[in-house]
Amino acid sequence: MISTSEFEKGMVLKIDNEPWQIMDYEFVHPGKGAAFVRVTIKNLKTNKVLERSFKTGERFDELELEYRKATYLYKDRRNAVFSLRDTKERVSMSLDEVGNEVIYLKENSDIELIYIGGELNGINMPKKVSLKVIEAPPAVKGDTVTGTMKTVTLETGLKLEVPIFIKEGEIVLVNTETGQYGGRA
Amino acid sequence: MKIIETQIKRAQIIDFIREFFKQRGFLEVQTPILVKGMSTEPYIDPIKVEFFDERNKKYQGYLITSPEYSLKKLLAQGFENIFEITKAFRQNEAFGKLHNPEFTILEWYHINADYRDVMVDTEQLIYYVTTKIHNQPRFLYQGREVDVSLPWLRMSVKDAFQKWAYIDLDKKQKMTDFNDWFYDIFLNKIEPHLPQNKPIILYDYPLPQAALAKRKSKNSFYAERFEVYIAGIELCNAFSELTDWQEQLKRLKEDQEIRKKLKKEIIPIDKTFINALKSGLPPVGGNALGIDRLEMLLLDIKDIDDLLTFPTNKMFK
Repeated sequence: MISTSEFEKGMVLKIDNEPWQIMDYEFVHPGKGAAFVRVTIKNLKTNKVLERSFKTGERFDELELEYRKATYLYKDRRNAVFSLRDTKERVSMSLDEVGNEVIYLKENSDIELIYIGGELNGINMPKKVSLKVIEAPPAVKGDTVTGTMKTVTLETGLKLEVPIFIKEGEIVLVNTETGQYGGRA
Repeated sequence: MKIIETQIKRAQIIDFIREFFKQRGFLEVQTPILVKGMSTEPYIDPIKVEFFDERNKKYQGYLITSPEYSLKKLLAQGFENIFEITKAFRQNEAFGKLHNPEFTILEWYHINADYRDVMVDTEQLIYYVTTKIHNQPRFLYQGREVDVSLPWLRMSVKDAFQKWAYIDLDKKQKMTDFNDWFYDIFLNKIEPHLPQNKPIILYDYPLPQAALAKRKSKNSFYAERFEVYIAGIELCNAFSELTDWQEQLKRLKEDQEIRKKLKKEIIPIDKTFINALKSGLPPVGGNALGIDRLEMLLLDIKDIDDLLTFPTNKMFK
């Protein structure tokens, strides 16, 4: 059990049976009652961020947060399958949970998996990934208005809006938080 | 902001505060920072000091947590409207963005007045200083515009609990550990709703939250205390001062009981303070305002360490 006085940024706590990571914390001294600690916490399942205040001395279960190196192998209809670097063990996550993320991953690429309290919780997605354009409609001649976009297909099957000057075979950056084009690699 | 610029602005803010009170006939006084007797409030911890005379005789005292006792002693001696800008100290508090163990406090006492008059003093003071510093009653704090135009929004604590936490405070009078419960609700349910773009005066606090304030009426659960929040930052704490020495003594003894329960050092009751009340105080309203916080707001500073010349945090940690 972890008491409020042992709080540290990055620590993961079990609050209402969900894993919440401490983003920031500050002690509040109301002067007319016991001190509180105000925390900004992020739910590691939903990514929801909120502020809460706990009375100092309150205790919580700490969940061990671990990043394990892995290789993304492939996906089938239901699951994405990974291989852990150290043990070579194969693990899978359902596409319902990580479908929106594996679309950024090339087969056989190196990534990190997040384990909370020993359980596989998700993928530690890099903010940007670089992917190759495998299919791009040619730019229409004379269409030089800046800001004009077209849709290309990337090597993972992801369809992306890019500026019209991007050609087949080029490598582009994709922002995994917004799902948008982030420049040429 | 560069450090020199910040310090120039801080000096101007202090000048304008002095100007405001002097224009209204308040006398500026100086009372000691090192004192023998100290407030017994259970959740405010003074820094204890000892010193010696030429014969190596030891004396024990405290650094003030606020100049309140001394100022009330002056009122008992016949002083009228007074104010003081001084240093105060509190310990057992984290070195947070809004806390430094040493801080600058403004206190003023307005005689033949109550907390409603002090509300007006407070909003006029902040309006005055803001327009002097920014040439308009508005300023930017952390990307948001804050408008201190008059009059300010006023809401009773009871209404705030009803509106934002759906709780009837009247029904919580008998609760044990009332103060812990109160802050749990206040910090989690009330504070997040306080306006960010203008000040709000929260008034009439439950009695356990107001050790030095006058009761609204004989059997009321509420006392005449108010606080001001600007952009979510707690700026000051004010009362219609409790002038009844017997009631005051009773509450100080209750404070000591709580300190005992919390296994904290028992601070002796300052008898000269009680004697001062005995000799008679006029009806008086007073306010204690954190000047560092006001400066942070007006100068758009988020961390007190960026305001002070030599933050305690950086000296000791």
